[in-house]
Amino acid sequence: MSIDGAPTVLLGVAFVLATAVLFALIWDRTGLVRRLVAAAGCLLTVAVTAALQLNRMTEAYPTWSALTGASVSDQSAGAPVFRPAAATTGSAIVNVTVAGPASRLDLPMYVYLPAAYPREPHTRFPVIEALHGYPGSPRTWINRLGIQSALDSEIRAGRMAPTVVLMPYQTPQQLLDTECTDLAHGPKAETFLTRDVPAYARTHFRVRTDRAGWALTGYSAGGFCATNLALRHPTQYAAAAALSGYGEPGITIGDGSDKTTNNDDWRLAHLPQPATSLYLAWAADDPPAKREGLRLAALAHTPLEVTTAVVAHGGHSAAAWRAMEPPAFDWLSAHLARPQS
Amino acid sequence: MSLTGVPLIVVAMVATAVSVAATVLLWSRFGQWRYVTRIAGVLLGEVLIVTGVGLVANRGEQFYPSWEALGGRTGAAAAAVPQATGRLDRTLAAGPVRWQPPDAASWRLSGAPTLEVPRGYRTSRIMTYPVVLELRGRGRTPAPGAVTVTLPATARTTAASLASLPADLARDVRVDAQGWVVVAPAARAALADALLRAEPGRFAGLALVGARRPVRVAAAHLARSWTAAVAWASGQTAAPLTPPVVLPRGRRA
Repeated sequence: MSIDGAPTVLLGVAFVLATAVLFALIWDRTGLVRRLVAAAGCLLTVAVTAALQLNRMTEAYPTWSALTGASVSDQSAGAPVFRPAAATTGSAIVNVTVAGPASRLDLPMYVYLPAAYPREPHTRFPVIEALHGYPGSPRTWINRLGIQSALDSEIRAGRMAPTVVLMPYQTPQQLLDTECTDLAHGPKAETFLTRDVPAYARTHFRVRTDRAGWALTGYSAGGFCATNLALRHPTQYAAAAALSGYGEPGITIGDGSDKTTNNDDWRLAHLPQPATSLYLAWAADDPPAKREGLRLAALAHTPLEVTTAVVAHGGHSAAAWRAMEPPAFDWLSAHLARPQS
Repeated sequence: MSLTGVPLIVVAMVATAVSVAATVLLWSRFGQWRYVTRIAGVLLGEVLIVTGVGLVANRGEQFYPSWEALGGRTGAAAAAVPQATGRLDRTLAAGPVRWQPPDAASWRLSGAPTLEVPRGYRTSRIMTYPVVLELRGRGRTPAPGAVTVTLPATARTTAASLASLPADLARDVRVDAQGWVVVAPAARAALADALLRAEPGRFAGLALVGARRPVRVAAAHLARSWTAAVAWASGQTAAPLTPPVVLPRGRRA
C-alpha cells in the first residue's frame, strides 16, 4: 500500500472510527489508565490520518522509505522502470536516477516521453525541466497536477510540439528547501539542475542539445526556481514559465546571494537583462504570487520578454496550477525550437 | 463567510468547545444509546479540531483563499486564441510569389520581396508558422516548416525602415509573433544584427553566410552555404502549431 494512495488515507479513517468506538465502549468497563490509552489512540489516529492526507496533497514523502530518513536517492534507485504508458496516447513516464558528478548529488528523476518519442527514432526533441514546489516532489506533477494527461492533450491538439519533460528532485532531503540554489553549507541543487541533469538528459535521451531547445517550468517554489535559473543561465535556457512563483527565494542560502544574485528583483534592477522569455502566471486571489509577478513584470525590459497570465480563483493550490498548465505548456512550446530530425 | 477570515475560525473554535462540553456532559446519559452519542461526540470533536487547525494554517499560508479555490473552481477563462487567417491564404500558389504589401515602398529594397509558404500550409488552415527572413533577393531556398520571406535588402535598408514588415506579414499569412530567424549574407550582418536588437522578442536567431570571424555581431550562427544556413534557421524555429490556449493577462488592480 503506497503512502500517498487514497486507500491508505481511507485505512486511516477506519482506524479513527475504530478508536472512537473502542473509547466509547471500554469507558464503563475499565480503569483510568486504559481510558487514557484509548483517548491517546483517538488523537494519534486522527493526527496520523490528517498527516497522511496532507502528504497526499503535497507528495512531500512519496514513499514509505522516505519516512525513515532514507535520502531520496535510495527510494527509487535501480534500473530505469517504464511506467505504464497512457493506453490511448502512447506517452510514457520513466523513472531514472541521475548520478551528478558536478554537484555530487545522486537523485531520482521522472521523465515524460511523448508518444512520438518511440515512433521517431532519429528525432531529437525539445526539453522542459519541470520543477516542484516545497514541500513537494516530482510526484506532485504526476499525481496532483496530472502533467502526463495535460501534455498528452496539448500535443495531440497540435498546440504543443512533442517535448521531453524532465521532473528532477531538487533536494536530497524532503524537508530541506533548496529553492534550486547551491546552498553554501548544503546540497548544490543549482549545479545538479543546470549541469548534471542536462548532461544526463543529453547522453541518455534523444533531446536537443542547444539553448533554443531547452526551457524551464515550475509551480510555487519551483516557479521561483524556473525564473531564477533562466535568468542566471541565459545561455542554456530560451524560456521559463513560472506558475505562482516568487521573485525571491525566501530562504537563507548562506552566502548572502538570497538578497542579490539569487533574488530576481535585485537581479532585474541591478544586472543587464538577458534575451530570454518568461511566462508568469498566478491566481488573482494569491496575493504574494500576484504581487511578485507584477513586480517582476514591471522590472523587466528589453531584451527580456515577459508574458503574464491570470486565473480568477485558486489561491496557491493544485487547482490553480492545473488550470495554468495547458496555457503555460502551449506558450513554452511556441518559444522552443522544434523537434529536430 | 470568508474561508480565511477570523469569524469562521471563531465559529470553528466555539463549535469545538460546545461539542467537547456536550460530549462530556452527556457522556453517561441516554442509557443504551450512550454509546452512540459518545462515538458521535468524539468523532465530531475530532473533525472540528482538525478543521480548526486547517483553517488557521490556511489563513496563514493562503493556500485556499476562497470557497471557490477550495472547491477547485478556478474560473479560469482559458480559451483558444481565435483562429488566425491570412488575406493571401486562398490565393497563395505553391512556390515563391511576389509579395506586394502596402508598405514595401518604404523598406528601401532593390526589388520586390517574395513570400513562400511551407508544404501543408494551405491544407492545415489553422496552424500558424514561424518565419525565416532571408535578406537577399535572388536564389530560392525555402525553409521547411516555416514561411520564407526574401528581402532584397540594400545598404540603405535599416531596422527602422522595416518596422512595418511584421504587421504586413501577419495580415497576409498565418505567422507566429515570435521566434523568427534571420538569414543574411555577411554584407548585411549589421542590418540583421540591428533587427535582432530592435525586436529581441520577435527575432530569435541569426545565421550569417560567408562571414569570417570575427564578425561584428555577437550571437550569429556562421554557415558556409546558404542552404546550410536556411536548414539551421528552420531547425531553430518553433514547430507549426495550432492556436494556443491562453489566459487573460495580469494587470495591476
